[in-house]
Amino acid sequence: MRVPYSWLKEYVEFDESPGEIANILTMTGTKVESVESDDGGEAVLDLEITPNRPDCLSVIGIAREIAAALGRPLKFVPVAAEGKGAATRELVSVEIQDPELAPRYIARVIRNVKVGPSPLWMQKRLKACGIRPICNVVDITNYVMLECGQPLHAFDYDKIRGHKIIVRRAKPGEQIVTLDGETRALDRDILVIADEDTPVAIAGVMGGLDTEVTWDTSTVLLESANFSGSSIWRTSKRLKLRTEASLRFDKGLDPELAVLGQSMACELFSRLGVGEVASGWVDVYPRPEAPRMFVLDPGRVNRLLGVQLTPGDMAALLERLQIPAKVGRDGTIAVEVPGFRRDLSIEADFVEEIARLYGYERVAATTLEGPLPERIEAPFAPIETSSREIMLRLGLDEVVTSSLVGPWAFDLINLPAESPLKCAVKIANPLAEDESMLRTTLIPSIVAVLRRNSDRDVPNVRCFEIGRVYIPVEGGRQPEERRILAGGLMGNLPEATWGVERRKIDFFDAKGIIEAYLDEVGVEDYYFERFTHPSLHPGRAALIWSRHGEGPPRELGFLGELSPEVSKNCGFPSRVYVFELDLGTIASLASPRKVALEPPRFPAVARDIAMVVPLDVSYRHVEDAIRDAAGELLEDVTLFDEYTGPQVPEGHHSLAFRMVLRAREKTLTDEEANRVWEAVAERVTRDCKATVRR
Amino acid sequence: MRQQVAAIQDAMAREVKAAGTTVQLDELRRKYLGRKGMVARLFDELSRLEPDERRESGRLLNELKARCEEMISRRRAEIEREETRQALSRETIDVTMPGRRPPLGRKHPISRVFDELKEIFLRMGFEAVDGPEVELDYYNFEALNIPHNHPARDIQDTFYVTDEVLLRTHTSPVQIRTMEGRRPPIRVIVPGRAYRSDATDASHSPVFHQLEGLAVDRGVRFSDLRGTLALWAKEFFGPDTKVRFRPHYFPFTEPSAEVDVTCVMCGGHGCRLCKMTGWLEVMGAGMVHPRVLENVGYDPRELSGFAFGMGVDRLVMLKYGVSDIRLLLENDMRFLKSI
Repeated sequence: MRVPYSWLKEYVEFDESPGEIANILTMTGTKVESVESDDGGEAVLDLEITPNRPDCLSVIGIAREIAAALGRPLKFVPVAAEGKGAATRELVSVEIQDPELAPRYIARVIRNVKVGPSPLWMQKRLKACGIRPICNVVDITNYVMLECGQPLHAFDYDKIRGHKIIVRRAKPGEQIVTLDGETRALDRDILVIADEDTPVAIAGVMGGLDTEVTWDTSTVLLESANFSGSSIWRTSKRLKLRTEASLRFDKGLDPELAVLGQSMACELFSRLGVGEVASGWVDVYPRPEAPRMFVLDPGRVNRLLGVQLTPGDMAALLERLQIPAKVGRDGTIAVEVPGFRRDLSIEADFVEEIARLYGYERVAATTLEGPLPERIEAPFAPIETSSREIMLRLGLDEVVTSSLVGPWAFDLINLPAESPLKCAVKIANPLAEDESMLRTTLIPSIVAVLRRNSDRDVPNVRCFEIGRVYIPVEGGRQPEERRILAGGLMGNLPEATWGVERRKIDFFDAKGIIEAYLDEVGVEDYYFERFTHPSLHPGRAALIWSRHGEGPPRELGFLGELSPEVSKNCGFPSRVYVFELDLGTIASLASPRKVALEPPRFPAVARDIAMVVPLDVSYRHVEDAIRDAAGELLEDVTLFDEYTGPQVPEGHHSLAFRMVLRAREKTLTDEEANRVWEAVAERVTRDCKATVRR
Repeated sequence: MRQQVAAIQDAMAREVKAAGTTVQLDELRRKYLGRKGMVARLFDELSRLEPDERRESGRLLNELKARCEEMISRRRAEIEREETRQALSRETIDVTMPGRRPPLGRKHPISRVFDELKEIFLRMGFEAVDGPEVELDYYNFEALNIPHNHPARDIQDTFYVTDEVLLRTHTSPVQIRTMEGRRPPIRVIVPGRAYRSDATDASHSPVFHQLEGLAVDRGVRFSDLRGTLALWAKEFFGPDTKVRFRPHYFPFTEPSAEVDVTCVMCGGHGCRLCKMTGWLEVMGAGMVHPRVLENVGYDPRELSGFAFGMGVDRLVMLKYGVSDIRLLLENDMRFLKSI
């Protein structure tokens, strides 16, 4: 809200500069966003008013805050504009049908109106506050609204059928053309001001076009009313119509403000010679509010704030805010809540008033006391932390991507129509289709990161992300939020250097990262199995399983090379590898090593074994056979060469293994080692169709 | 004999000095000290001398032999040192050529700031908890004293899934879930992701990150909030950082405050980043609203608490001098590797 500096000076005496006033207001809770100047170079404060303080949506409200902050009186003389001549009561009748939604309605009549431009000083202030001057009648209503915070509306009296105001809910099928020229359909949830026949205004939001004040208007019916905040909020939300009036009403105003508003306006109508104010007014206020009293316990106030104020100090601070407060004999403070402070309803509200005027900055800085809480931890925090750390140690860069995706994500990785991953949580009111649902897989996010970098000539990327996917649950209101570790690799290894051989990243680089990760995080007995996935190369994709513990094997995730179609759509210059692992499953299987192994005391014997194996026998089968045949003495077996070529028959490859053999409590003899070698040779020959090189 | 010894010694000294390789030295050794070398030949002559003279000459010859051995071995060491020096000199490389760097994984700046924040608050006895991002209206709004049809809902533009299910607009619903699940004392932080249907620009992203804090116990004071955040600011931004509390409004705290820290760029003198105020707003905070306590079955006359919530993306931007929030989720490797 914008308030001219000079206008404030009519209500409080001060010499502080606009900048100083801005600082004082900001530090007592009325934030000044900026100090600007209007056309004439006069300072205007731009304020952020929080929704709990509709009383501050006015010059008087801000002046009240300045007066309180400076400890000076508010210069405010209530005006009484009695009017003269015919009694308003004779000219108009008012009926409130729904006092719940419209607690109060005051009507006044101004006759012999001469519609014309308003005085320049008034126009200047309206413009400074961001309101366009229209004519003297409308400008007065706006001016008074800015000054005291009460929205007013001026009808053309002669166009109100029966000179009768009925405040009621709209009937189904009713409609109204509002001042902005829009035709608006109404319903029972919308409160309207109607005459005998039809709605003439949407209560608290906007008047109707038919009854608007024009240059020909000679009699004005002035409305100063009070409406239920939540009703106005609902209506303005429903009609997507926010006005200066609605944004004041929707926060809930003081019914007494309606009296002030009409009298300030009528005083202006008379003083500026715009028209003759008829005597008296019609005030329908079926259930007047009782004054609200409150008793404050100063001990509790001090304890909550961590300060030591006397009851007298507290009462004085409240008084500065125009909140009558008396210290009783028992030391408590009796507070009368002023009507304009509808936000004050519980003790904590008064604590804030005392604290902000005392000064938040004067409250000491202390540390929490008392016992430490029992240890709790987010169930996934440890696995997320350790997974991140391991991936970083493996040399991958961490990325963080948006969890909002759109259909593009599924298209990017060629998901078929029937893919279950397409069943996603959809946002009812998205900003854009690209961000209209929650992701069900991290692969599109990773591919998008790789593509963005590839497009920008960053060809070498090895990255991972730890994030959530959101899987709709049959019959559940909330989806299951699964923690996922995903990653992508592309480009050369090593990236770019001299003197060593450079090569493209391949499937086994990706697999090695996953193996190292699973070993480090403590998942045992994992294995890889070829599978097909619509986004992946049909021959270069694997599911990852673990046979850890009892029960059937658990699926951990997958890895693979992006299919040529996906890769081509993204314009990748080299092959791209992606993986996705379910951290929930991994957390349930991981058992990080806790016991240190002492170095073995006896030396190991190494034995190499080379063999030619048909390609249709899987490597895993061969390695399992070696491990099984070698038995307990086998400490480790590693593949150190794989070869296909002229010396190897078609459809076969040559594999060379190094076996490390060791006994726990003695040095192995050559003979013992040779026996193991023979057992292995015999087994692979029998079970793996292998020809062992001797 | 004495003259012969001196002559041999001089001659050998000359030749040893002139020898440039260990092969030459070996030859000299043979020539002088070998079985048929010059020294051996002199020893042969000893038998022809008188016993007195023989003893004296024998001593001289032994000395000569020892001296010759010493000369050769000293020279040999010299030559070997020189040969090593030359061999190493041939292996000289250009040390200014680039090194080969092993790949170094870098943590995303958002994770880094989260970790830093967690560490600070963990030291103060807080523990990290989390909760669902797809939340019920009740936890995101209702229980936090933000009723339906209330202008307070306007503050946060919300993505809805259904009428009662939404993407959480802040991490505060985890306050409710935490309090529902346990009894005080409570000291938790909630690092997490939240969503608002703000149009995207340099400082707004529909997906953003927050860190929430909550402490509830008997006798928790507003001054404790001041102290906790003052300590946080010094740890996070540096020991000279000051915090400033400004009264504000949040539906779920009362009293409420917005918290500023001294500008990270100018240290409080005023610059473009802080719009010449010397202060940067970094979070909202306050004493847990009594109605929020009541909503989880706590008695506000018995218990009190404070809560705060900071925008982590903004902290990342301040810490690393990032001017556009969109860079954070874009993941351009050149950007990520630069910090």
